[in-house]
Amino acid sequence: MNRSAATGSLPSATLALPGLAALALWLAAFALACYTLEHPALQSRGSNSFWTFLLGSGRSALGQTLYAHADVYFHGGVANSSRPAFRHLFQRWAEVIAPNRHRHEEGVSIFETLPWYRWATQLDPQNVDAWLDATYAASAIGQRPEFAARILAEGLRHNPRNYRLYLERGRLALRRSDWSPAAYALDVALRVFPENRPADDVEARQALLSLLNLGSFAHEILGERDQAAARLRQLLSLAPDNAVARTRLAELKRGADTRAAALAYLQQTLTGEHRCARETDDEHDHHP
Amino acid sequence: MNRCLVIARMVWLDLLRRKDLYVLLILLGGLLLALLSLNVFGLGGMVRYVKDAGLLLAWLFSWILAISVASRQLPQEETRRTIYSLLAKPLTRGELLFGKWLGAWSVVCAATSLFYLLIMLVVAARGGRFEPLTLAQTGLLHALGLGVLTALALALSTRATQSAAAALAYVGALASYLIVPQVPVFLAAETGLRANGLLILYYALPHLELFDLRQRAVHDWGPVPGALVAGLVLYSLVWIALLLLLGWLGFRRKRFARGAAR
Repeated sequence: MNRSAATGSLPSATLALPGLAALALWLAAFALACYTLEHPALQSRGSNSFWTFLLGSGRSALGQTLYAHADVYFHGGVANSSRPAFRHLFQRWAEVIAPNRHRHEEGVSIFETLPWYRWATQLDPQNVDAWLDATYAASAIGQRPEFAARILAEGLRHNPRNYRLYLERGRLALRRSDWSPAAYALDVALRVFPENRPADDVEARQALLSLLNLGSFAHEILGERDQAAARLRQLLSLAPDNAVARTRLAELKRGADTRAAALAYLQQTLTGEHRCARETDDEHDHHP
Repeated sequence: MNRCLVIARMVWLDLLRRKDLYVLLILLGGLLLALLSLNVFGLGGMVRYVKDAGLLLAWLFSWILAISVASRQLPQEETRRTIYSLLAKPLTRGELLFGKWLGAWSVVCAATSLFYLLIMLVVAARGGRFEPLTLAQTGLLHALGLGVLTALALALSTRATQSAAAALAYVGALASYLIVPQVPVFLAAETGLRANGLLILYYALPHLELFDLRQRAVHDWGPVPGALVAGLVLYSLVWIALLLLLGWLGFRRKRFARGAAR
């Protein structure tokens, strides 16, 4: 091969390698960033600055993608798909390869979701849903409340005035029978709860009802009957048809020792609170 | 057939002389090690995300390698002017094309096997493992998908420059993998001309997503039925044959002007 022939191969190399090098650099920077973000020096200056510098406003979008991927892991690898207009051979094959069934991870396998929540929250620390889902995965399913508490503490460091995180902290403390910390967290949640919520904000209304309900349990179990009664009265002003709250308030007014009953009610409340978002999705096929 | 094997061997030697494969291997190893060092809220023992990200990187790198290797074969021979000496030998253009495809496909498959091996080692170091039969099926279907991709890039390079062929192959591959599987969902909201256009895309492009068994390997769903694998082998062979035929039709009467650099 002569010299000109040898130099003739350069264009192919120059076309392939810069692209590969750019991709390599970006991926390496991303992986390195995931690791170095744990460094105290970066933590002390606020983690947002680093990711904003690296990815700009795209970090939130990427964080949402990773959060969605965590949800896929929560459902055992099954993605949430929409209903197709027709079924063809290729789709039948695709359904055999990736069946559209509805199941949840249980036990320690739920921890497999946590790396994706970790990345999602690193990219977007204001993604409160990701902090909450990670906490739920670690505590309610994984039965590791100490890790859940650590996740929540980190989430609160980034979102110090978010009532949902305090509500979850209170819920977590109630599950661990830590009544005082639970009452404190739920009181803080009430204090930081935004006052000017629109009337049609169903989620906020539901959260406020939970705050008042759980707060009343915590104070009732601690023997702080006046505070428990105050929360129940506020709860009944928002939901007058809540028969359980009405009964409990009447019992408190009578002066009876209601702590055992409160514990039983609380147990029922905590076991029936979580509902999978996909279960309310009409377009999602549910195979047993 | 022997002449095809000689051509394929030349493709292997060419890739081994270049740095692409080594760069990708080092990069994959580095990224997998970075994945292992992730601090997941102080909790250890998770391995599925390493499998997932590892296999994703293996797919990404094997596609990059397949398109870059296949799309440069014929334009490179032309630029180097070695095409004249090749065609002067007792070798038909069809044999040259098939030999180039065989070499590109086999060398990319070999590189992909190395990627898989590296991932298996890292996963094992983390205390995890793949289900062997599922992983074998994942690798087999991945290799078949790469066969279609190399045939596509090679066919495009018979009538386009290397960069144009590579760009078109990337666009075609990404459309096949990302958009085509969503067409039945898009069609639920489309009518008329747009719906017909989507249907044409759905049937005219290869369904590369069918060769992706990564989720089964990552989430331990177990192997797919043998009949499905057989169907996919047949499907990929049809696509490879069709694309190589199109490539041959574009290449068989192509005139090479001496002195014209591409």
